[in-house]
Amino acid sequence: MAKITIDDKVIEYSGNPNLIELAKENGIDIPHFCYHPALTISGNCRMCLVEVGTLCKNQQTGEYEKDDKGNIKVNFMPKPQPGCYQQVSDGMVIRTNSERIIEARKGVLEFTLANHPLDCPVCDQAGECVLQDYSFQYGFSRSQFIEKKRTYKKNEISPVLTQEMNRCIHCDRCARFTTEIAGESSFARTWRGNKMELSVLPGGTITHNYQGNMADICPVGALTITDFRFKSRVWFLNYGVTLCTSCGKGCSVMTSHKKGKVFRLKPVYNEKVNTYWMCDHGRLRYRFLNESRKSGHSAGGKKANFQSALSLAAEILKASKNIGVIASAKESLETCMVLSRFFREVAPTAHVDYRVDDAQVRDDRSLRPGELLRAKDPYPNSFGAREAGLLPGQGGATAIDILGAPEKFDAVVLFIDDHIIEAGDRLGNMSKAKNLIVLSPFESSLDSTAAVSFATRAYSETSGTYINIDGIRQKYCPVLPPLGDARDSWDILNQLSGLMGKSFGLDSIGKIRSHFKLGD
Amino acid sequence: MAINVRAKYLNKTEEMSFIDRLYLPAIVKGMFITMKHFLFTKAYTVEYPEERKPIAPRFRGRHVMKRDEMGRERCTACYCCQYSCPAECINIEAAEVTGDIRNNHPEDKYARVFEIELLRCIFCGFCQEACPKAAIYLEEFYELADYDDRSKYLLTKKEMMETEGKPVKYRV
Amino acid sequence: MEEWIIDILISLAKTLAFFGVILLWAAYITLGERRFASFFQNRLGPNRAGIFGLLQPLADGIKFMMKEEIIPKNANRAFYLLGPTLFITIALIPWAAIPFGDTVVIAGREVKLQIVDLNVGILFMIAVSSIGVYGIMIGGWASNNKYSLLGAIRSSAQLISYEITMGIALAAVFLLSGSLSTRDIIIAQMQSPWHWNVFVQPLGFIVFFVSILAETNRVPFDLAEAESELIVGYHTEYGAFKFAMYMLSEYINLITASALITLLYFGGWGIPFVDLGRLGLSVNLAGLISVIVFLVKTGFFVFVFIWIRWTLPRFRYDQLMNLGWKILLPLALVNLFGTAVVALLV
Repeated sequence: MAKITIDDKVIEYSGNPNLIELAKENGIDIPHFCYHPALTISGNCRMCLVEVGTLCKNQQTGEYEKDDKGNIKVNFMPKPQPGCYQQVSDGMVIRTNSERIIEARKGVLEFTLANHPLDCPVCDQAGECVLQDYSFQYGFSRSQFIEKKRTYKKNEISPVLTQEMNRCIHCDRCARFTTEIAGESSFARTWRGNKMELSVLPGGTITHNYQGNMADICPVGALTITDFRFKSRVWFLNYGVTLCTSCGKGCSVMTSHKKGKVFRLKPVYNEKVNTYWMCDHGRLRYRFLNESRKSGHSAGGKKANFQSALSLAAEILKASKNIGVIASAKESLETCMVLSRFFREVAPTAHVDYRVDDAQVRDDRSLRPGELLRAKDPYPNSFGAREAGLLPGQGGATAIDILGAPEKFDAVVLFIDDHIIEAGDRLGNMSKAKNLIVLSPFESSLDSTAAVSFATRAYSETSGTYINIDGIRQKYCPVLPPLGDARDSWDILNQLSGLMGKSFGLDSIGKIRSHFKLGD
Repeated sequence: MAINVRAKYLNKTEEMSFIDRLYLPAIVKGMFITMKHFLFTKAYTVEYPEERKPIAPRFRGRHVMKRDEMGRERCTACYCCQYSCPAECINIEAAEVTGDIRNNHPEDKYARVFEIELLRCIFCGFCQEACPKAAIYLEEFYELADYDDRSKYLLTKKEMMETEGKPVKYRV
Repeated sequence: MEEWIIDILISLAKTLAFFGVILLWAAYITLGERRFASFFQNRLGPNRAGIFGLLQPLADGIKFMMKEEIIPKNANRAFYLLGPTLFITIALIPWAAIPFGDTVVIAGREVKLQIVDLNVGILFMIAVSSIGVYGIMIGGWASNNKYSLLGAIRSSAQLISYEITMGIALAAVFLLSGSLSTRDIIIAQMQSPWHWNVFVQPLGFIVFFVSILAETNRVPFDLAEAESELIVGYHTEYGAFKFAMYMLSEYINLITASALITLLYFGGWGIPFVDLGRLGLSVNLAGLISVIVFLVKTGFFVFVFIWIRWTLPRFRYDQLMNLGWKILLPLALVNLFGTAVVALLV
């Protein structure tokens, strides 16, 4: 194994690692602006300066030279080197916090701040700004510059992003992201030196679906997301890690929420699924978690408590022979399992289906053309629903059949999710259905016509498992408290099974997982 | 007459003399002391609405929001005051500066709503200390009592904002 | 006109005038007490209503009238209302026998400035004022409140204890003047200031003064109202006008006590070294001057009561009882015995 010494810490490594990554893995933080593990190395910010030295070898004898105390002599390079560029080699000695490096960092930061405006009170990045943190940790509290700061004219670069070029520190991450990850050349460096500007090409705009990531990787507030602009200061927000449900990919995301309202989503590093990124489509669909949410159950268009709604639903299901079920692939694997068992054993019917979207019908597990992450399938758990067996049996009607002619069935059980609401006209025929039972976290026009309408918990308020288009199982946990009297879908089904005489006794997510052997 | 300590330590084992035990001389002496106050000492009363005590230079009264030399609102809705407020009495809603109001605000962001619940406020002055823009100050006004209208205690931005801009003293 | 009608009219006029003056005076003592208390404490006191706050009693009165009448739920309603009524009535009755001044001539007849000159005047006053404890006891009991009841019990115990010393101290005065009529007692002191009972009976005066302080429930003997323990004692549950009645009665008692001191020990309306009768003034003018002199003397003692209040701390209950029974009572007896012996010998 090759060895390297960083700040008197001997580290063994193999292969050809990046110095910053290697140091980070071993608990040593080398500050940096322009370096990003997923992007090519640019080495322009000069924040990651380290002292690099090699062991001193006598060229004649081939032995290490030693000083008076018997330690091997180290020859340091005359100037500090950028850590991100540094090739790691055996026996190398790195110093990241020597006096010289601290001095160098201060100098770099002072230059960086020379043109950086004191916008923190206005800037949305404040609180999660790398420049803020580093100035606090490594910088001066005062600037020696008395000259006027450089200013730019404000440019509209895209509807998703707001650019504030004055705050830019020219780290170039955004331009590299655009070309390397998004595969577009719409956004690049223009002009040179002090006047350098990161901008769209004249008359153009950024069109790719991953612009939000540019704001995420921007170490300062030069690029911010327009949607989140001035909504809240980040230090008032709470964070929770969950999954994105806007397509079959199931990216790991972090919600930023305050007082039960979600303000934004940000990608979380997940090596197998989305690495560092997420698409703008998913990023901006957090609104469904805030808007027109249902907090109470209703029966016959009037508010009802849970027990009375439950017994009414049980009566309907008992009395009906011909039940149509439109499941939703937004429900977790656990719910799908319970649902599948319910309509096999408790209220047997062949008309069970989850496939409301064309991609689901085709069982299409591919990405949209030209996309990095976004799948054709708009549902996060189609694979899970299929695995649970939510497909029509012999002679059973498909979901699209039931949506088209719901009046043929004695009763229809309908799961409503944000996608089907967004599609708009899909539910047009459903008001004709006899004995409609709705399970939904959202309010819809069907609440008034449905025989029973249950309020279920949105995925951010419950836990479960999704299986994405690549067959990867991902668990998620609640990040927000449930709204009002909303229940988990599996809980409603389990209690219904009790009322209908064939109790499952699956009253917790753990029991469901062990019962269906889904692992813990 | 200044109040001073005239207490003496009495040795309890010491027998009190007959005169002491009569108490009458002591009572008469006490009566003369009170009479001295009655006749010769001026009242310390400050007759409030007409007379007022001078206010200390760092007195913290009702909040005032400042304008800069050009008459623009200093506040940029950075929420530092809200964050530092121990009583959680400040409510801010930020908004983007667009169109006509551009002349009133130096930055892109401004406080569309800035309210202080005076009934919660403890007048600690943390907001003033936290403000990076020298926009909020707790100044001299202290007559905040009212007997029936509680809506008066929701201090809105309009009530706090001063009408003319003038230079402010930064407290370093 | 028939003689008796005129007699009745004059009596009625005297009664009305007396009660009017007394009630007004009592009202103004409330102001006086507050103002003087402030001066003793280097404050200004109530000075907002009228010049020097002179309309303050009026404002207070209006406030007491306007306040909501509240009777506690578990109070004995009848007795609760009887308490203050009885107390103020009994407080006013002794004034029937107190002379304000000498005589005047109205419509050709000599009128004594006194509602009625009883030959047992002092005895009557003491008898009546000892009923006053009922007002306190009834009020304190009917409130159905532990503080009220405790205050009432303390108060009645204190009143009964000190009435004995007061009576014995007075007996010595009666021995000297040979009469129980208030007017006769004053006239007996008229010869010169040295004949004032305060100089003739210094020990008796001290005993009497202390007893009367206790009788009026004033500091340092205001155990019945000890704020730190009993809130305000027997009238804790009283508000609005009922409270005003209690408070007024206490101040009327204060005036009564001052008037008693004046007439028993300080020569009533007599001016030292001046004989009004020999100055050649008209009878009515002399009568008027005598009234003024009496009022000034009484007023002075009211002030002394207030002065004491802001000087001395409150007694403890056992100290109070020790003082009454073990010190004042023997002293009063010694005084009476000495006086009797001297009177017998001289």
